[in-house]
Amino acid sequence: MLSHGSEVIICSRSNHEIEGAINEIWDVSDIGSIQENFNNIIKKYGQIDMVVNSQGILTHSDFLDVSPEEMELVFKTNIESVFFICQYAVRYFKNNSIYGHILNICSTEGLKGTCYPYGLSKAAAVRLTQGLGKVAVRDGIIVNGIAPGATATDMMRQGDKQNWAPAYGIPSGRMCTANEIANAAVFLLSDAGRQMCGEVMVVDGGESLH
Amino acid sequence: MSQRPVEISENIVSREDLFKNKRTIVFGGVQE
Repeated sequence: MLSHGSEVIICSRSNHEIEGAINEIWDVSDIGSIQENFNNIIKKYGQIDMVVNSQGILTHSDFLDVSPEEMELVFKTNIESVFFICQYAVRYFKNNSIYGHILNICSTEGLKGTCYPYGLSKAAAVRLTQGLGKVAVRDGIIVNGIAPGATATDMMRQGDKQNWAPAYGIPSGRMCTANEIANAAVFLLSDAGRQMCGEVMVVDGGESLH
Repeated sequence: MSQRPVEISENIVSREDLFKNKRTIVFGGVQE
């Protein structure tokens, strides 16, 4: 987004050293703070045109070991915060007559049968994107999503944090890069994608094809 | 929700200017 001319404000629990981007420290799993923080960002920086929900945490417990606390944390971060950020963004765009865009980063894990918190929360994010896409477009607000497959981010490093998870079963023979996900984001957030509503674009090197 | 006037997509003329004067808020940065 930066290389295409947008000012970018990253809201995250930790500081991201991305040249040219503005950082705001904000834990979105604190659901009660979302409205106030969202309003403060707008007050501080001005009009927002595009909202990207890229927050997410992945836990690794076996089904029998998933605790209520783990489930709650994953759902708060991966779907509850997405829901309320979408709600505030749609209200903001509508009240200010902005033809805004919302992009939700989902996951191919949300398109499969799953019994783990991450996949379940991402399945909800997929359905939210599809449902809201249909409703919000009536006000000229475009909501779409991306379902990345295994992507070479820190989340996918194994064990000693040096080794990438193996790319088993990916027809393209490798994991996606962050840039490849960003390319899809640029398309969906541009006016070129304005007639796409509630689409969850799969970017996974063919992994989810049967 | 009520229906607003239809907007037709415009061609992308310049990659560098694609999001000129636009502001994006990104939640989460890199997934952890």
